[in-house]
Amino acid sequence: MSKRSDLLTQLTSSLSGSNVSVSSELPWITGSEPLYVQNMKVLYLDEEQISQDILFTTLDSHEVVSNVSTINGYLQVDAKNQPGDIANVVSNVLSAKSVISGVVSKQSDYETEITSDKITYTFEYRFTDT
Amino acid sequence: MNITAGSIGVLTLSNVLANANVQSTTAVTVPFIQDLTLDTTAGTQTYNVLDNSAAKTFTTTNTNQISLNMLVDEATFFGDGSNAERVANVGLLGSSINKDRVHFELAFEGTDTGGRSVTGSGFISGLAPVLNMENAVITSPMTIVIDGQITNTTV
Repeated sequence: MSKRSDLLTQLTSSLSGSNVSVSSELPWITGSEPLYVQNMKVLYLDEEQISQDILFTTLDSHEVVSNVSTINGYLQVDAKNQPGDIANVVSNVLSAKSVISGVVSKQSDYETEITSDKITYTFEYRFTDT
Repeated sequence: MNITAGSIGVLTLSNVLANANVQSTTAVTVPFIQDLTLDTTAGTQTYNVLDNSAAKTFTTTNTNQISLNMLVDEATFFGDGSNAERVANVGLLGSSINKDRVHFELAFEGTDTGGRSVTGSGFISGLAPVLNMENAVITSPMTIVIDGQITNTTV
């Protein structure tokens, strides 16, 4: 299974019973706005992005490559009146990275942006493997 | 000498002199070498004479060694436990522990006949595998302390 699928499964489980739900759809654009703007209090995960870095090269033309996978998540809620469990939601979203196995490094963080009366949480997961 | 052609710096090891060549199918070729140095440092003797204001010098015996850094290959490092070729059987680590003499050929231009190479024999030393979460692979230096003279030859 892909890392995105594993994260969706984990997030659906960990956020059940909370004020935020999880969509399996990509955050595509409808009209002029992405889905997470149209549907507030719904978490969307973007497609996995992969970049490669060469760690080592050897005299016999062997390369050891590091793959860094990045997955972004988006959640928008009312900035004037955030869900009462938003702190738990954010904590569960960040800790969902632990479900991914077979990687050397797992990282997650988020940032927020307030536009008008909406606050958008943008999450980023980064996984490194060789 | 161009190192971008690939397969440069081929080092093969064997406990049997006749097998220690880079074209041998039984010798152990050390894989995944990142860098390699052939050190042929000569000793020196300096003396002064009455008719010269500068010291005079001549070289004495050489101290030769091969030092390298490599990615650790499990079979090569630890041995396969079943090969008739002893270096392959006990691995680089076993050869170091047992202080087995290893014969080597170091080819500077790959394995094609006529390429420049150096041969000799010595003992494996300086193995220091490093396990580091930053790199996710195991690397190790290795030194072959060469016993006696090396031979400048071709493959």
